[in-house]
Amino acid sequence: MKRAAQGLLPWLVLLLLWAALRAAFGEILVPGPLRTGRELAALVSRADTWEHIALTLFRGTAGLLVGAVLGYGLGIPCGLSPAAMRLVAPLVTALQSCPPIVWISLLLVWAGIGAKVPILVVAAATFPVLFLNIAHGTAGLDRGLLEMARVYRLRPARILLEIILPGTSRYALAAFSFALGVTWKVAATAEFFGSGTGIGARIYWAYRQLDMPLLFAWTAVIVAIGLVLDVGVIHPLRHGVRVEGAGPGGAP
Amino acid sequence: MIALDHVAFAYPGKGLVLEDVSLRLEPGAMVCLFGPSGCGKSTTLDIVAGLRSPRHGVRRVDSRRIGYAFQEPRLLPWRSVLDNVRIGLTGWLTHHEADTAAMAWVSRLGLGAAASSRPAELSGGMRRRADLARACAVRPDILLLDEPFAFLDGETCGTVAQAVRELHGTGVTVLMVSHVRDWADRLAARILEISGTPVRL
Repeated sequence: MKRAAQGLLPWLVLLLLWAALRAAFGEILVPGPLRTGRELAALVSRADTWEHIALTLFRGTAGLLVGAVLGYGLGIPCGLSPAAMRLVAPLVTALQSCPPIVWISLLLVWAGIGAKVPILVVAAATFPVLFLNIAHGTAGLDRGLLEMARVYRLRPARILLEIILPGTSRYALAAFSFALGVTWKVAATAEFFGSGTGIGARIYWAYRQLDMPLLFAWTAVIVAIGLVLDVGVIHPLRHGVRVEGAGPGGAP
Repeated sequence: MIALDHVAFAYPGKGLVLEDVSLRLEPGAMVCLFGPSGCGKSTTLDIVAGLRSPRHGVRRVDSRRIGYAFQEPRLLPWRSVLDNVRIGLTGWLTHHEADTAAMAWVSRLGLGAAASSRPAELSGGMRRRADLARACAVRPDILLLDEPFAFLDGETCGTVAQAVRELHGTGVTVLMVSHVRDWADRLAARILEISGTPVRL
């Protein structure tokens, strides 16, 4: 009971702050919790709202998958070859320092408005962290296990499945938990600038109409998605990192 | 057949470990390289196994399949003992055959009760036996054993020695290294004594 009350306390503080801001700036600039709640209820009762949410989540997931394929595809060879690592790692670090807005601008020119922009921007935003973690995880693998695989002539697919993927799982889980956190935010940002559909595009529409209650309602949707992803996916992944820490790292 | 001709080897940035090693084992031979710790015995086994390339000299190894029990057991920490033994059998045996062969060697070396345990749950001696079980289970024609009797109690040493003797009896070439001569003598292995580094043999 006490824990539940403690859990509710931050939300209560948020509502009070929100009500205070509404009182200070007025209903037109800062719609209050009740007005926003009514707008949100109307929003979630419409089928197209769920289509936009699904589109954003799909684009985020697709972008993350592209980032993961590139991260594994380049990270493993670079982890196994110090020469390749020396060649590629500085370039990826440079890529990591590029803010998503740079990718959005470039991709809008190259690919035009549409689904490609959020997918590719998410891929560009998540690839560096996935690459660096996979590469360092692979470089830190027990070389004795790879030599054992050579002696027993394990096929490359088997080496990947039996040694490299389990051996890098701690690094991968940490990277994925971070990447998931940024994926849907970057996807929504890319949609804001470069798409006619998705949560970001609807926020852009509400902003252009100066429809503040709708803008606040979409913000509430984004926050809710973030919380669901955090509790349902990211938190379990981080827990997995701690649990797995006793696995590969616990080699005798 | 194993043949090393005037082999020299050095680890990167370090001095020669092996200076001039020549060695010839006909099929079915049993040889023990005997010498103090750190004198290059394990490096010689690694070269025979193809894990290290000689800086000079020639390595010729005619083998269908090598079994290698490493000095430090090389077991997948996230897999059970049975899975670790079976890993050398996948791809060329059916799933059932691999299971049967792996379990036979696991039991043979006294690990039957620990077959589903992970390496971290085993003692050092049990891990060594799991590593040896994998080397034996692959039906090798060359068996490389790096300090196979180290850290094992007398009874377990007897079990290991009996397994090695039986495999040798089926025509397997055995090359082992040891810094303890006792068990090598009991196995009636031809003993090549190494003294000083870099090794000249």
